[in-house]
Amino acid sequence: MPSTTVQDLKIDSLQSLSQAQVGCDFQIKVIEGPGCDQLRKLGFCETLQVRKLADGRNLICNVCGTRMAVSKELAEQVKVTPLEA
Amino acid sequence: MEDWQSVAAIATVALTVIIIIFRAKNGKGGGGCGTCGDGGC
Amino acid sequence: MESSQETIALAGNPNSGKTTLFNALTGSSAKVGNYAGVTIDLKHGEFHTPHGRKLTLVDLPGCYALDDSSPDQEIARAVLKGDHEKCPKPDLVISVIDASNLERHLQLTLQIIELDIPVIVALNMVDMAEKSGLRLDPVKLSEELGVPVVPIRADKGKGLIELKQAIAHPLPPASKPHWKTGDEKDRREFGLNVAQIAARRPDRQTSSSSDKIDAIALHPVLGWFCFLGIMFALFWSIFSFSSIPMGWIESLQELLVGQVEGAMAEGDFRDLITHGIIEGVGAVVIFLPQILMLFFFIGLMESSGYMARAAFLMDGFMSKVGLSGKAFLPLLSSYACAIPGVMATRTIDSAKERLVTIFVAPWMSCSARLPVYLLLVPMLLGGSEGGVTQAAIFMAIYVVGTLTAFLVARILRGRLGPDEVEHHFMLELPPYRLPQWGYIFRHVLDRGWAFLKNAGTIILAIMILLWAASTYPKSESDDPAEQLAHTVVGRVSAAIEPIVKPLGFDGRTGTAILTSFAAREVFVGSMAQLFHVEESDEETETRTHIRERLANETWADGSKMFTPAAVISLLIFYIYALQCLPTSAVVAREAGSWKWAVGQFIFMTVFAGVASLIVYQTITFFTG
Repeated sequence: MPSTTVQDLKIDSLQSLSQAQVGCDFQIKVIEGPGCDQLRKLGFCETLQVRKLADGRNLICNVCGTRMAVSKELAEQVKVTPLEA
Repeated sequence: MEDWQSVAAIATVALTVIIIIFRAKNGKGGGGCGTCGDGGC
Repeated sequence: MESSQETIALAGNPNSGKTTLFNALTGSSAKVGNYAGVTIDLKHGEFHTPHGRKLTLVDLPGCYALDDSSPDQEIARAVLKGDHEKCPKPDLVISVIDASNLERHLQLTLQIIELDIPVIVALNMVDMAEKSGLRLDPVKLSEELGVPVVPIRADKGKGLIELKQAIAHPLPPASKPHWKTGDEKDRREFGLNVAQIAARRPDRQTSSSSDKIDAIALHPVLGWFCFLGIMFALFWSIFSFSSIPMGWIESLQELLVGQVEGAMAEGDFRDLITHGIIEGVGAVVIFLPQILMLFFFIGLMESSGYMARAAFLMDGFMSKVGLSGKAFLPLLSSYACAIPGVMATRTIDSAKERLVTIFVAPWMSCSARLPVYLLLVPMLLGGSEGGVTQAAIFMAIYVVGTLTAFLVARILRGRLGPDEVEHHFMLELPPYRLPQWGYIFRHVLDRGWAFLKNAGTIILAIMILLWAASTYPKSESDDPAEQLAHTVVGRVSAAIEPIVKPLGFDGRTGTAILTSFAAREVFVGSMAQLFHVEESDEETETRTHIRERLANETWADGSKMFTPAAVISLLIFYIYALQCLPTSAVVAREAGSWKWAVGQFIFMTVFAGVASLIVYQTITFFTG
């Protein structure tokens, strides 16, 4: 299936929220994984802006003005790109 | 005059027992934590 | 139908301010707090429209979407879909939205519109959103959604008249969705678009004061210092600030006894009133100031937004015992009372985690244990009250209960096996807010009143019965000790003394423990009564504090009865024993089986006895 490989490539070039740098703003590009429904309900949606506030076992981020604490495993499923300054 | 006091004391105790039985019958018995104002206590 | 009242439901995401709006509209004082998941059941109320029409208002538990799994959110879904057995399908839904989070909160509103119910959007906390730099356009929002939008501030009561006017009669028809119904992706995109049109965010996010506080409060090291500091301050002030009002209650009590003794000749009835009722009930009521302090502090934590932070900090620790930080919120409320704590477990998604949390919740020392601790702890310190050492011992008591709860949770969690669906930790950290003082004040008064009501009913009844049991049947003897031995209490004491003696207690203490299975606070009153009888025959007797009386009490061989070992053993018993029937009833209901409640009761009581035995025997072994 060639289409999936193209998408995979695109995802590979993104970083996950758990690897992202603290204190920076990002845009959410892709959410996928077993926890994606849970994430979407809490406001993690594609195209939205997110700021990572703290790292750790659970990381803290700000999505559209709401502070959320999410576990590392969940943050792994959120792929982001840095927002241009 | 000690007699009326004994009678009054026993009457109070008996009344308490009756009230407890009455309340238990109406499903209000069983004590209470006393401090919880809400939450279906 | 003309005659039946129309029902209006309040729906919205957790912590969007539904209950605050409910309270503002109906004038009630339902529990509110600045964290997700305070409301876990339906609340009914009534209010009038400007035209004088009476409407039923139903407050629903918060939910993120209509397909959520935790029990509290299922209730909300059932009502909105008209499947709830106790509540008719609402004629209109007020969808409460936190204006700062349109993107997320709109999703639920759209789902409700899809259900073909008329909707009014209440845009809450508008001022907070605008302060953060958001530019809102309610008119645009209303146009895009096709439903009325009313900006409000529920906590300040602003916008309520406009909201009531929007509920004009006849109720507006349900609006037609502007997106493909049932298509989740389309709905989500529509919501995001509308949010972008109606609320323009500043290009750069600035860090708010909440962010700055969180940098410390959620710091892996500093955060714990904060947490422990707050807890310590709580316990210290419970002792330090309440000695003055306690003095007042004590003098009032003495005044009452003096009045009765002056007005009545000596006899059984006078004895019942003074020693039975006033002293017994008074011994419990005297701790009212501390109870009020505890609830004041819990109220502060709940309404400031710190609760969610505490849960966040605890998550790392909780995960080691197989629970998530989310389970810490119900456990925290169990420090006030296990019943709301057990009910609050409805916010936990995983059924197994919920069962485990219900099981260990009564080990969080609830406020009913406070009088017992307050009586006993100063006895370890030679009777002195207040001070840092005492606060430290107090904190240790709470920590012991909590740690054991975690330990048992770990064992139990392992036995129940893993969840079918994995649940990850996810928690909203609401912005810090100044407490709603009026609400806290009312809440504290409510709780204080409930405590007094309990003292005036259950404790009063038990005190009267205990007095009777320690007075009758009468013997011919004039010696008070012999007389007591002849009574029901004397016989019960003698019977249970062999059982409780290895734990360090005599028969009377054992009897007091027995009475406290009705309610824990009763112990204090029972002790005041039972350790009174022997010395009360003299007219000139000076009233001594119950603690001094206990401290002077001796065994038959002349050795001190309440040694530190015995007091610690008693404390341990009260930390662990489940002596609260209402809790068992609620556990049975929430866990869905009586077996669970009975098992919990037996396990905890046996555990308490064994723990006391081990502690007492170990300490006496080492101290001789």
